[in-house]
Amino acid sequence: MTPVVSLSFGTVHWSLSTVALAASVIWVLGQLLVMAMAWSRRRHCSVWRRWWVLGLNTWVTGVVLLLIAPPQLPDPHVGSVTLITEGATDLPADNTGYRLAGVSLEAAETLPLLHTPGQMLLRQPGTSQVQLVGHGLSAADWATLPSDLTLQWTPPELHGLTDLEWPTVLTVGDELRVSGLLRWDGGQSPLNLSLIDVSGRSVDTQTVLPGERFSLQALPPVVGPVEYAVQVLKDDVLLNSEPIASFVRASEPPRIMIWQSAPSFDTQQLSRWATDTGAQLLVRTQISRDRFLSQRINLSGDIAISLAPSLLATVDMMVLDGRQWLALGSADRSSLLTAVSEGLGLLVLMDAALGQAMVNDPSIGDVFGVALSPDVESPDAESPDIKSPDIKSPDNAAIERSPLQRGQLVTSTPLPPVPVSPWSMTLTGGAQTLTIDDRGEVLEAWRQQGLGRVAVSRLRDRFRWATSGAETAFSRYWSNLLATVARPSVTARLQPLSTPTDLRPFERLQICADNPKQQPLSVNFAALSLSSTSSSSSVPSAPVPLIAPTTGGSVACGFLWTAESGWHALTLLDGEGSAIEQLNVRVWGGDEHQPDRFARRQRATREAIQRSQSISQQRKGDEFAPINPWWLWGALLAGIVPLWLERRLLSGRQSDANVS
Amino acid sequence: MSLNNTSPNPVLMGNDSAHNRYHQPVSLASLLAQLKKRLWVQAALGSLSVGLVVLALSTQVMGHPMPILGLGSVLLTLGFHAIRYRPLRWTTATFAQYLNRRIPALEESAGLWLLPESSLTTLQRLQRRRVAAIWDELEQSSQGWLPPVNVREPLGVLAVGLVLAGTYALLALDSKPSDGVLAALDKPVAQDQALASPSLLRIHVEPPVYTHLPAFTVTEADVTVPEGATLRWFYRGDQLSNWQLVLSDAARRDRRFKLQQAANKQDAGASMAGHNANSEAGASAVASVDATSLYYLAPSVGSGNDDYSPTVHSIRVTLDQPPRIRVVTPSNTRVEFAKNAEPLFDYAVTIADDYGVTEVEIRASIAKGSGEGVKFRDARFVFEHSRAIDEGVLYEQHWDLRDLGMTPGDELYLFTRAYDNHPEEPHTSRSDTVVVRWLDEIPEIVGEDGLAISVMPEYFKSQRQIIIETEQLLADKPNLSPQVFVATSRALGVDQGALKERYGQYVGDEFGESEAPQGLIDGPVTASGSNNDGNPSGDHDDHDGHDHGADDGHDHGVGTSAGDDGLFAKGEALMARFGHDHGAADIGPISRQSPVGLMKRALANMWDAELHLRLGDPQTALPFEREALRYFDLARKAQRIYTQRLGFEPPPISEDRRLTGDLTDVQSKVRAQQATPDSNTKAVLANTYRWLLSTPDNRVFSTSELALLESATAVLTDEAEARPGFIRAAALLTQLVRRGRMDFGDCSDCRQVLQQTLWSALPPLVVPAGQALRSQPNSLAERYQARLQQLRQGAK
Repeated sequence: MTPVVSLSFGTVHWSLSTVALAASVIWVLGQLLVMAMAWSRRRHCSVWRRWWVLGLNTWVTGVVLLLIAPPQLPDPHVGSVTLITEGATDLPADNTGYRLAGVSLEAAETLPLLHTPGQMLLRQPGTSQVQLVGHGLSAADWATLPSDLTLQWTPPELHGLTDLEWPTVLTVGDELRVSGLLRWDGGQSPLNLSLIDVSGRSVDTQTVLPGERFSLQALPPVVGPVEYAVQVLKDDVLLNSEPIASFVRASEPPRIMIWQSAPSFDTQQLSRWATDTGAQLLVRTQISRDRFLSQRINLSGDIAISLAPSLLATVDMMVLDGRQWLALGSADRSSLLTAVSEGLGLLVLMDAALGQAMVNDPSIGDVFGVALSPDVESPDAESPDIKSPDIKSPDNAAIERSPLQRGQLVTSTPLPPVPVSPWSMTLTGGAQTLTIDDRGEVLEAWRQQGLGRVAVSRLRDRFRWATSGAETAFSRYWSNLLATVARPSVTARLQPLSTPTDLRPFERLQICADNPKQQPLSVNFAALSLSSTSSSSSVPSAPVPLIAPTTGGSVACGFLWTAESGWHALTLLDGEGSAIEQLNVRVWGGDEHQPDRFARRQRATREAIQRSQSISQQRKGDEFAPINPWWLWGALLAGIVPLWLERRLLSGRQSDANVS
Repeated sequence: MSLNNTSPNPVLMGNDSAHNRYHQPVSLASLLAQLKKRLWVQAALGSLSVGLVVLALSTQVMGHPMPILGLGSVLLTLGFHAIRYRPLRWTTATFAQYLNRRIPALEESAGLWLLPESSLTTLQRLQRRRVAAIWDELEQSSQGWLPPVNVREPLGVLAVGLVLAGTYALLALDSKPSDGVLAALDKPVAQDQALASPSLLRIHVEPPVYTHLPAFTVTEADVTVPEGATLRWFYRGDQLSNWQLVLSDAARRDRRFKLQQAANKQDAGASMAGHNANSEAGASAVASVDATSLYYLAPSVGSGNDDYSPTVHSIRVTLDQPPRIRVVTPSNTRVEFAKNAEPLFDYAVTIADDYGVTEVEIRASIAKGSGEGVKFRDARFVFEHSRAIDEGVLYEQHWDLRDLGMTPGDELYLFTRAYDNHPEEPHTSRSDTVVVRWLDEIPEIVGEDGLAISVMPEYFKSQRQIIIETEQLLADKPNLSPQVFVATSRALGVDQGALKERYGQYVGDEFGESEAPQGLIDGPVTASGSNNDGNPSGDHDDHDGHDHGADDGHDHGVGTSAGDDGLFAKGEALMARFGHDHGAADIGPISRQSPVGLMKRALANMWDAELHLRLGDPQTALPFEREALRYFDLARKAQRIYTQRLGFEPPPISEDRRLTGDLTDVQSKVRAQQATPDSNTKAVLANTYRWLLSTPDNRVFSTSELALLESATAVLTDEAEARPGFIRAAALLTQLVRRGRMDFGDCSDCRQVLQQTLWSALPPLVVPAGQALRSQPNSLAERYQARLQQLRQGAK
């Protein structure tokens, strides 16, 4: 309640609210009446006794008044409070303050321990100024403190890898890209960063200056949990090393349908690559007018290859060459595009017929979102230029590289050159680039249509990658194309975790999953131990349900905690408790990724300081603190007890008198 | 049971022993006997229970019953109970007192039956008669004075004993593996080595003699030896004859060698100088190894130790490598001497080998002549000088081409071949071939990179420019006067001629002294400035008299390199060479022609082009210009070789069915097939790696896991031939297979080593085909996008 009366007497201060003031008045008036009655009741007693009782009543009255309006005394600790956080190397001169949990400074062990910073204000409500020692507090810790505190802080030096980011979950064939910022305060010379794999081999290197960002890549060769390490070296001396953990998930084999106007090596190699890993293929090859060779690979049953909606609904991607596309009737084309709108992926391989048709009638290219024009640099259609295409995925963020010399890349090299159709492609109507050449010209493009995508390609003779020994390039090209154009999987799956270095014991972890079918989902989170003697290596926790947001959508999230560090098994369960997917995630121990954790704390502390400085009126702080109420209650008892005794004695005398 | 064992009163009772012999009442004695019997029974029960407990416990602890211990405990307990119950200490006097205490009705008169009746006083007699009924009752019934048999105590002892024994049995059961788990396995779980395996003393390695390496001895079980080395393992332990050494190599061949006991201690140490054979006598096994292998000790079959799980060790074999040859001089593999230069050069190579080289020779081939007349002569030489250097041995040879009988225009091809000193199959290697060319006066057309003309693009551009200008001239003809037209045409002819001359210098044409040979290809030039119809193939019309020599063939290119003296001597020779139809289909589009020949064809067309341009007939010249350009292009590609098609002769096409559009015999087909991916044994490494990350310690393997490990072992052992570091991982996997569970024993880093090795052995990833994993747009996002689209379109 807002005080309406403030009194000071020397160093003692009172603040009374309206209610307290009224209560005080009533109490005083009541006590005056009581004292008068007590005086008159003891008229037969001695004077000293009467004054004794009056004094006791006065005492009790005063104590109750103090209980109603507790006096406040000056707080000797108001002003500055020192908070020792992780990373502190020495204590302030006055050797006072509080220390947070996790501080390993031996000299600070005598200071009071706070489990959360918010406890500081409970102990010292009058705090207005906080002096931080160490790397500061995290964003979650700052949320427990008021923003109008005056903060003083000198950040200590940081040495190591900070702002680390990498995908915690990859699909087989994806690159593992680790990026971050190298902090080496006080250092000016360049340092070598190396990405080390499990066998100790360096798979990527980069030389950066302190304060610069870096990016390292690797291509994990195996499905399952993978661990790398980023090492900081100077003159071959290891200065710092941080582990990088990710999980490579296997991909489900797709179903592809190919319509071609003639047998081709491209189809042959595509069939070989896809079906070797379990994909299902339907191939229709025109061998003459109205004559077709229909092939079913890895498929059982008698499936007629057609454009029936029921069949297209089961296909993930359809590949047509240009002539087949042009040969489609309007009804077939409409059926096909309808299937695309429902999720089917469509890839059209440009040939001379389609290219010329698109040049003559630009409206043909509207469905692809591209426009064609003759390529002025290679007018001879019979000997097209050989291009070096680059796979470009719009989802990959561009990382600026250091201007200093960079080590050899493990991946991300352009694809070997192959011929291309002699037309120049420009994007129109919402199309996006899929593949470009080394001059930046568009070779392949795709466009979203409903739930599916339509793509067109100028590349020819892709089979050369497979037959010339560049099998890796061949597989990466087609896998990237499938990932971009093909029908997305409707199976629920876990999403990668956003900030991999935040995975620590006793910290809340948000887990989300894609849930296209919007079915009930839950997750199990269990620590994995290789030292267990039981047949089951994990102790599963109770399933945690994943909840979709109230606005709807196909993503459901939940929160988890763990008490242990190390590898954990994260299992996605359906409504019946059956496992849909299992990933492994790495929870970091206290010593791992310390520079990153400290950097985030420093950043949060800087932001808190900025917020504090931006507030116009800083907290002044209360200079007074109420006294311990136990004193008052004790004083009250010291007055009430004698009063009670006095009352009993009086009553006994009166009864004796009545008897006599 | 409490018995009052108070001593009798000697005044009242007298000497019991003397009195009992002659005056003991029969009834009192019989009662006493009953009591004593009862006491002994009680003692016996107690002793027996203790004895049974001891017997049961000893059986649990020792594993078999121990009767001696049981009997001893019975006797001991019996003695204890004898002291406790004192059946031997009871006398009639004490018994009488006992009766007095137990049966108050006797009125303390039980002692009256200790005395003969005749000696009793009247009062005593009366008292006796008074309690006689009670006394008689005692004789009838033992109730009241004869203590019952206490079975609670023995039963209690038995119960306690049973509990103790059962507890011990349960505790012992928990520390042993479950019999049920063992029974479920196909292979028995390997027990820890209760069997005392022999301990390795050392391994004595004797490299092959030809390596000249000294023999050495190691004490570590994992050893690296040269190829073909003989190893002798020395073991110490008990029953060594029951053990055998099993050697397994990459071919999965298991060779077994029984440990041979040393005949005497001297024999055991005979081959090892400096070792104290007296204290280290044991058994040994001998084997030679040619490939990286694994080995372990195993008990002999039938020795009753089939559950033994050995530690697998590795033998890394360093293979004998072939000699390494490096050509020091000449630095370039192609050496050329001008015609008039001194054909002297030095040839030096360095040769290094693991253990030595036995033979080094120079193989040389000398090519004389050119074209179809080239002849080759092979020869062998030996290096004149050799000396040892740090890198190996330097062999040097000084060459003078004239000593080889070579003349300008000849070529020498030589390389070095070396053989190492391997006794059975010497390894051989050869160096790069050095080509030495002694040029004649015509510089070689073919450049270093094999292309016909390194300056060709420059001429091509000029020829193309001439074509462009000719076309432009023809296009401008309506706008030009005839004089200007002809002058321009003649100027183009001059350019064409200049170009032809520049090019002709490289093929040996001589210009400026005679007119351009006419009719090279076509007939005589007409007044219009053109010959016949400008048909480029008309160059073959003069070919009727061409003499096809036996070695003439259709190749006029190779043979026309420098050195053919009569190449340009006569126009007829030129005609004979170049005015020929090479369009025969059965030898392919282009027969074997060198760039020189094709360029000469181009030159021939340039002649015609120049001719018609000078005559003011660019229309006729234009096809010749283009033909010349085409031959230039072909000359650039002339390095390709076209061979005659063989083997397939398609049937002649029936004209009756061609282009009729009848598809009766052409039907659509349906084909179903299953993909059969190539078996990739290395894919097992990825599965093993993943399995290793998720398998905890001491987990017993299933049958499928054992099969996986065995496959991985085979792959790693095969790979160990090229990468010996894999053998340790193969040894670890073999060890796991034999143990049947995830147990590396005392090796703390074995799991990590295995993990690292499997990772490094993984093949490059071939990305499989997979479904797209991108998020689908949800309905809310779709509506949002649609609304944005509407707004955009509305804004437009």
